[in-house]
Amino acid sequence: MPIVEVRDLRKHYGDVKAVDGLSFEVEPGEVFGMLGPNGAGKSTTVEIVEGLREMDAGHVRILDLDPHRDRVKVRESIGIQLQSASLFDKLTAREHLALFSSFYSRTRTVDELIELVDLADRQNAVSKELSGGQRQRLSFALAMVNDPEVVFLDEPTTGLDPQARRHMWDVVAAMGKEGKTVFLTTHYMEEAELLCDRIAIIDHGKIIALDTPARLIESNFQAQTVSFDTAHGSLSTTELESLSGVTQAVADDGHVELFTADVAATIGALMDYARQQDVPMSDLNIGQANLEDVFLKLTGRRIRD
Amino acid sequence: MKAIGALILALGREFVRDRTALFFTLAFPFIFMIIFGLLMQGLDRPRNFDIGLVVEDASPAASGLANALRNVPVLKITEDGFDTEQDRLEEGDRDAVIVVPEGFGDTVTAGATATVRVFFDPSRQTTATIVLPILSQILDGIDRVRAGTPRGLVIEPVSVVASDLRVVDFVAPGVIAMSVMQLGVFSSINLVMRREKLILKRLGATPIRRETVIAGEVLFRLIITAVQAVLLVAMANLAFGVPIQGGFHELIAIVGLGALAFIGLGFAISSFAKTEEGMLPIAQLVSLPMMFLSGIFFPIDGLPGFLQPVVKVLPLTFLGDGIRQTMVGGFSINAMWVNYMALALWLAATFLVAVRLFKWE
Repeated sequence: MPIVEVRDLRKHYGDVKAVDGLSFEVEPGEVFGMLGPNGAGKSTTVEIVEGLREMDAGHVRILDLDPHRDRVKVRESIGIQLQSASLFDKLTAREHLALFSSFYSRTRTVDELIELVDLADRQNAVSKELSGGQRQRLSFALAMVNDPEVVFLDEPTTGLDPQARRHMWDVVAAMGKEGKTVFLTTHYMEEAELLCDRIAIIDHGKIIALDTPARLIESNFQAQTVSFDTAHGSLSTTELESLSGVTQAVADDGHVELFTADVAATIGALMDYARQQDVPMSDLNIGQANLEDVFLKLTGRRIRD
Repeated sequence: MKAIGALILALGREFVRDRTALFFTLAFPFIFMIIFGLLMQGLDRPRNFDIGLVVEDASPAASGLANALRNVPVLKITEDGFDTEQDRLEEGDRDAVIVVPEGFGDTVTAGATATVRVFFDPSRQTTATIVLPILSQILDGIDRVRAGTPRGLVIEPVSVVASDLRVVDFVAPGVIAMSVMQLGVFSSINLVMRREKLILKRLGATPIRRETVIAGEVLFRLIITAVQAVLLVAMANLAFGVPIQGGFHELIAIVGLGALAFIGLGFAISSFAKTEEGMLPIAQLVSLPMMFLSGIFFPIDGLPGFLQPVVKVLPLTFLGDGIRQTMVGGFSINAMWVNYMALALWLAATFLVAVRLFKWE
């Protein structure tokens, strides 16, 4: 039985289709990632699964329960970290944990939780005096108060500095090892690639690819990439795709990416083409395709913060 | 239950640790009461009152009463006829006009109840609180002279405001009512703030029920209101000698009911703003007119007639009147049960709206 089961989920805000027919399952013990740009519908989807939001149409089950009708039962067994930390300004870390412990029938001890997120030295500071990373860690600890089977992390590292982000990654990776099911959203490629067992790439409310990170890259590219920046405003992707070896060309805002089965032939052809058409080039790179390239290939755009 | 207790504790810590907000929330009513209590004491000291006296009856009883009035030291009596005196009253040159009507003597002689009419401006509160009691004393005195007969003389105030109250007796219950109203209405600000900061959404992401969150918030507000009311009542009673005639039970009942009604009002209006900045003007729009229209600082009889229907249904009118009657008696607008019923209706209506419109986010 899957932990989360979503079929043909739809949610509209006025004319905007925030979620436009999503279907996926989250299996027990996996770290499932939903990757997409801001506004792609990630948070809306997660919040519907958590029972924080109503859906317009579709079918959602979590732990084989209905997120609304069985609200209390579902909440007892899951942990939720919202996108924003949402803390009381004047309460300390310990006081937050004690407060949230009172809402659940089964809880971990405050000391365990403090240790889990490594906040011992700041446990008696009010949340207003905590750094962004510390607040995020406390917020994560609040999601773990009831020792949940499934944890939902909505953009857990957005807005954190690199060090704090790495710290969060360690915490999430540790949970994955414990065998907990994790459902996270992110718009960081690196994060998705590093943490997730499976990734759903989502754009405009639709899943455009769903697989393990390695297979996502493999199935889209047998292939390497040749990329460069150019000041030339109107390069024809059709012409670029006619170059030797090129399987697909994507131009986005002065950045050109050529996917190729034959790097040497493509480089030669590209140089000739650039000379003929007088295309200025900078930052020429040959690389292995990564998730960023998958997103670019599938949507024709680069993902942005 | 455990969750409600923990919520109240958390809200209490938030509240107590924000020193600025704490000061401005709690100190304002004290400052108000001190100002009224100390500065207005001057108004309570004896001064001369300009009284127009119109004696329309030639009987010995009538002239006896007129003489008695002329001999009261603080009353400056003029007798220029009803129309002139009435004009002067309307111009504010007279504090009251006393009319001993024709047939007064005969009625007294017949042993029936005779009437003396007193015209005065009810918005001039000192007149009401001083002239009428003086007149009352004189009538009592005359009655005593006619010992053996039942009290045969009564005053008929044309505007019903009469008691030997001081300004502070009138205002202190008003300040208590005001503070209960404000703590209730302004609870909306805290609620909106917690919604805006997504704290309510975060609470809503746990198994906790919406009713539990509302109950925690309401009980917390009720506790604060109780603390402030106790301090204000103690100050009114100990520092300014305002009595608590109705007893503590009645006072707790009326203040408690009023507090709940206003917390309900605060919660109900909190659905109409998304941000703290948007909530503030709404809360002020609700509370400020009520302060002036509910008779908590001056009698509502002085307000223009077209406002009276509005004034008569405002929750603060019922609360202010209820607290004043309970503490000092006098100046009553409604029967006590009317005050209780009206506040209970307000409470039911506002909580219905509050629960219906409650949003986690």
